[in-house]
Amino acid sequence: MDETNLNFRIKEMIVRRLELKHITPADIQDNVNLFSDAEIGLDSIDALEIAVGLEQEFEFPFKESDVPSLASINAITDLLLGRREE
Amino acid sequence: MSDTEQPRVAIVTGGTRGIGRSISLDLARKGIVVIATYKSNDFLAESLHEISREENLALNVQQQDIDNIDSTSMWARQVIERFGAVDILVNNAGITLDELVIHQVESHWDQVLQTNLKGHVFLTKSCLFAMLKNRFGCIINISSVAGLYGNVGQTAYSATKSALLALTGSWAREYGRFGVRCNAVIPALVETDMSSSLPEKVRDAILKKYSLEYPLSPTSVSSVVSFLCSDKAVRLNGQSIAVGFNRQYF
Repeated sequence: MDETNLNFRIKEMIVRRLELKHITPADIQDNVNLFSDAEIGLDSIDALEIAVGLEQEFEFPFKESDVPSLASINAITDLLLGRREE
Repeated sequence: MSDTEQPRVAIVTGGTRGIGRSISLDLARKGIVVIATYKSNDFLAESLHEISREENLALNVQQQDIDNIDSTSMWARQVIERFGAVDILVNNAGITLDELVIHQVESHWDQVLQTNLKGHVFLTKSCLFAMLKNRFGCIINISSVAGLYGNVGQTAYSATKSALLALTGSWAREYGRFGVRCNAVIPALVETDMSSSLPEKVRDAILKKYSLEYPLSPTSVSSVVSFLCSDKAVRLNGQSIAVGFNRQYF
């Protein structure tokens, strides 16, 4: 799967699962910190929702140690692609 | 108990004696697959297993010491792999080592906190992600009237039972959005092995204080737990329910 498409799918999943009504997938920059960014501003409970989404929609077996890798879209993509290459 | 076709799966810690035994049987008789844990009393475990066989219940009795955090974490993963989920977790196991605080022994304090509090926190941690993925979970923390008002000689015990009430609120807030509910049950004096070891004077004083003629039966508590685990209680989250006494009077 090409990376641009994967990035978009991840953004779409986040917007949908977290019901971010004022943000579209296109609004989320690939390298912005999802948690410290003033516009997006996710919290640790949102991170759990992302983890569940990655397991259920991307078949990614999430581990507790993966939590820091959720910081940005690029970081999440690296996590998914990195694991798949193992 | 559930409107789904797949039976729910429940872990009941300390599920072979006293309140826990009653909870295990109540839930299993409602068609829930129950895994009742115990630490060391093989006799009680076997007798519960015998009842399960006679009544053809899906009640599994397993020896698992929740004091041991690492082994319990691994055990919880195995339960989830074997049964596909943990839908209900009843944090019931508890010990007491009574002494006045002026005589408090450090190792007794550590032991009570390890079982009554730390063990349950980390077992809950191990079960949570499966609940989040299934968008369903019911966590019941068994507290005590001692957790609200304290009790002579029970510094450690009452501290842990009070802590369970506080973290019930935390967990309800953290996981309610995922469909995972957390509630607590606060029994007054219940007729169990633990309460029968109280000095008679202390028992009488407790009964008088809460206007009880006699201690509650374990089924008084398990019936409330069963209700909280049912679909009828789907709007109850972060609640702590007193059984056998009126909180407003104290």
